[in-house]
Amino acid sequence: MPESLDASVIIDALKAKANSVLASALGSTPLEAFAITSLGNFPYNWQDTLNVTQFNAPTYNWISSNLKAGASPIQLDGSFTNFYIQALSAISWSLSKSDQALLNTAAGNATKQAAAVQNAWIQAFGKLPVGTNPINDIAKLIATTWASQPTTLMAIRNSVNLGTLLDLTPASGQAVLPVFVNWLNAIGAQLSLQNNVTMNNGYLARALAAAQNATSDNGGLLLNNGTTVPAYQVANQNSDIQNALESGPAITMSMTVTRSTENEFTVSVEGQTGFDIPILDFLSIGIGGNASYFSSDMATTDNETSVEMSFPGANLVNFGPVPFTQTGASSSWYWIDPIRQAIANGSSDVSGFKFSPLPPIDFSDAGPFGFLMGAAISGYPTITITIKSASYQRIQKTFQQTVSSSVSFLGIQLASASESTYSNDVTVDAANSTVTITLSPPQELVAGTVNASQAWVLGVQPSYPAA
Amino acid sequence: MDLSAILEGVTASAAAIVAPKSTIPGGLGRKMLGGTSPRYVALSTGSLGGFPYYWQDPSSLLFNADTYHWIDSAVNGGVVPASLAGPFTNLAITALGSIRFTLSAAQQSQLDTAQAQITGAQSNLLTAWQTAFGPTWAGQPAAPIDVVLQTIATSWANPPGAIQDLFTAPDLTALLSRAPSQGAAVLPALNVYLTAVAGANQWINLVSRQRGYLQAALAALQLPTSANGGLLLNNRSVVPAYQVQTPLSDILAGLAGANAGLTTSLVARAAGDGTSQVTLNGGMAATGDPVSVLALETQGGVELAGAAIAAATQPVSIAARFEGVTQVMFQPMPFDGTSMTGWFWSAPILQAGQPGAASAGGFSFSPTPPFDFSPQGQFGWLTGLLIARSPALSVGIDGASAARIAAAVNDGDGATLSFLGQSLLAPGIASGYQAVVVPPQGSGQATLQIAPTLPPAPNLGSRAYVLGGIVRFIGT
Repeated sequence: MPESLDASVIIDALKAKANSVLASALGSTPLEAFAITSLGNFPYNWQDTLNVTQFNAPTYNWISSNLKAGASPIQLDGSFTNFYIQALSAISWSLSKSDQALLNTAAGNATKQAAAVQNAWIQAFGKLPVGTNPINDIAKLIATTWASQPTTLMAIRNSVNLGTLLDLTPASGQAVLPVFVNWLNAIGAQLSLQNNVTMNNGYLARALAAAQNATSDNGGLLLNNGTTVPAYQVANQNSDIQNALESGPAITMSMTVTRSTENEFTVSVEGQTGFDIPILDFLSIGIGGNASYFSSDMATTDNETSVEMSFPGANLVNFGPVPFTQTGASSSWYWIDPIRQAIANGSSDVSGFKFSPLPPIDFSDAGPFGFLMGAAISGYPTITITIKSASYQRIQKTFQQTVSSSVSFLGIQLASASESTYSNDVTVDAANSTVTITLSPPQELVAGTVNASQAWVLGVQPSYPAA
Repeated sequence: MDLSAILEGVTASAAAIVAPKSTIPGGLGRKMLGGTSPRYVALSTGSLGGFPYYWQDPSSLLFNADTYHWIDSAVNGGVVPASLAGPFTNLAITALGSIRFTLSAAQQSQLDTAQAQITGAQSNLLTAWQTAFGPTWAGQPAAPIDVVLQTIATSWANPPGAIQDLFTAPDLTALLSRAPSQGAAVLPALNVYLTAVAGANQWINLVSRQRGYLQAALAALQLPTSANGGLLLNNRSVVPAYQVQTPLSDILAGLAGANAGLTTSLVARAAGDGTSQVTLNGGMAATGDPVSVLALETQGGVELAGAAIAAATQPVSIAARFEGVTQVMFQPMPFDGTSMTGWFWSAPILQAGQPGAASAGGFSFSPTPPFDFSPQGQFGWLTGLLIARSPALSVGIDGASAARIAAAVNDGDGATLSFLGQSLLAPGIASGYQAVVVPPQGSGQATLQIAPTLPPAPNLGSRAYVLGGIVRFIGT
């Protein structure tokens, strides 16, 4: 796909039409113009057509792409997962200085309360238990001899009824218990702070692992090429996409084409002001051994040429990464919150997710940290070319002698292989010296049912989740 | 232009239909929501699409994983319509995991006081005992107070028992019926001592109890199992449970039309610049693109309905009839301290979010979670949905426009129809529409009636049109 401004005008016009036709489905996120890359148009059959339990690898590669930085129209680039891994692996959850100070204070309080427990113990029993660490020895003694079912310090700390748990507390221990509870209070005062360090970094590691090493255990997605990858999901059922391509509304675009120079056309879309575009970037038709028949014989200086394109079955397909679920063994991988928080936290002294080091990624809506969450698609276009020319009969004859044609539009090869060529239908209006050629796509380019089937992309809904 | 107010109005109208069911004191809605009447708000469902209402897998009777992930969506209340985001359980883990329980300085002081009272009462008891019986503990390895209470528990009590029986005796005088006559002078001191110990119990239990409950609720979130109330999905994963209160049979019956329907009346008037002022049920008004009100795209890509409204010289009335308006009620499984099951415990979050919580003792955040708990924030969760089949429309419009639109509806399978920005032809809702034009009476408008054909048989993948949802926030 050429990235020239000229092609952008046509792409923008198509996008605008799709925005209008699909307005009700788009919600608050309008379509933006899209230029295809080597990934081609959208391989909409996301379920393997022979085994629906497997995800179609070409579809996965398409929807899991990041968005090329600074590109307009929007273009797919590499793998979004790569950027995500780079970002997430640069993040850790850490305590602020003030929270760190809270931990230190809590540790000091715990030491003081431990001394109070020892004093209370000595007061009650005359001496400390035999051992090397008095507070640990006291806790162990309480856990093992004051409870009819010997327990642990952890169970005591989280006991919902300490009085019942320590049902064998001797009378001499009753005066120790309040002091012991004060110590429990002190040692657990900042437990949530301590836990947050391990908990958040633990979840971070799980999400990262699911992105780096996707397996069936962490929610990985099995593709039909046998690989397991970080999961994406498509909101539309495969059959609904196929049905929509067959029966959805058509989007039409009318253009008049004049030959401005040897190498350029001037194209006017829907009667708007014309623009110049290199002849090979606009429309090429290969017929009868001539690969450039449109520019050499049809849209010539002497002819009046108009082109109408009709894209059938317009519809919107939505998709996106599967969110990371923390609960249980956790599953999937896409956890954008830490990245957003790390960006927001910057170098501020707060407890939370922070970058260290700062990854060299532009998180803004300039890209590349973005992906598509929707694509407006259609079948490949039917092209109707009307030419008023003194040579209209020659053009008519050329097409009548040829069953099929190779066609490219905006640099995109619409059909070239012998088994998927455009068919043509020719009519003439002799009174006006006009010939009309209708080029129709093969069925597999309208609502094909094979894994390689692609739909024309009219526009896309981008997402820059950390912008 | 923004028609979100109209969307909210339609949701409110739909909610009024089910209000009697949900606001009866002690009824389902009130019971679930802790005494607050539910209020439905318009929802932007985003990529989640329609609601997969078939929540119980008929082949296994397990919970449908698609339904679970839908209802486990956090709701952002800071936008209109409220939008659904990632898993609410993720936010709940962060919230509960950031809460600590500590005693305030006053509560710690209470413990010190309790300890001093026990020590003092113990000393008085030993003094009274020594006066009555002498130092009977002399030469024994046990502490004097243990010797004294052991003697009382075994020699004075009838029947003989353990020291713990003294602390729990409902009638201490009756229990100690074998007390010797000299013991009468000891009993008052014993009573004071037992009272001091009992008085300390509430403080002794407080810390570990609250931390224990907190830990159990968090564990049920992080590591759900069948033992702590975890829910087994039909994809065989175990997750923190949600409880759907509406039986699947009721949902199916409701969508099939057994429940009352909803008629929404809109009037659109041209407001210039291609916009229309839309009035809902003769009251609320908002201005927006008429395509956002009603859109009909033909297979040929021509939009007819919005264009006709924009071009109309007279007000266009649009009555939408939603059949099968059905309420689906559910809730996150509340944490139950008795059975130690469930996970949803809002009280600690509410308390921790109060100003001054950190120094007041009790639950407080440490660290502070990175989100807003208010109704304008991200910590919203769903407890109910209003769903329906696609509406039947009755449009009062000029005869020529009515005829064009009707022809497009009836002629082309490829026509798409939307009402207030929501597709009426979402998968599983309806298979299509049919249109009829009733000619105008005299010089009046024609009536264009567009009605859905029969919906397909419901199945595990079926989804319903979402009219609104009940969103809860901490403290609401």
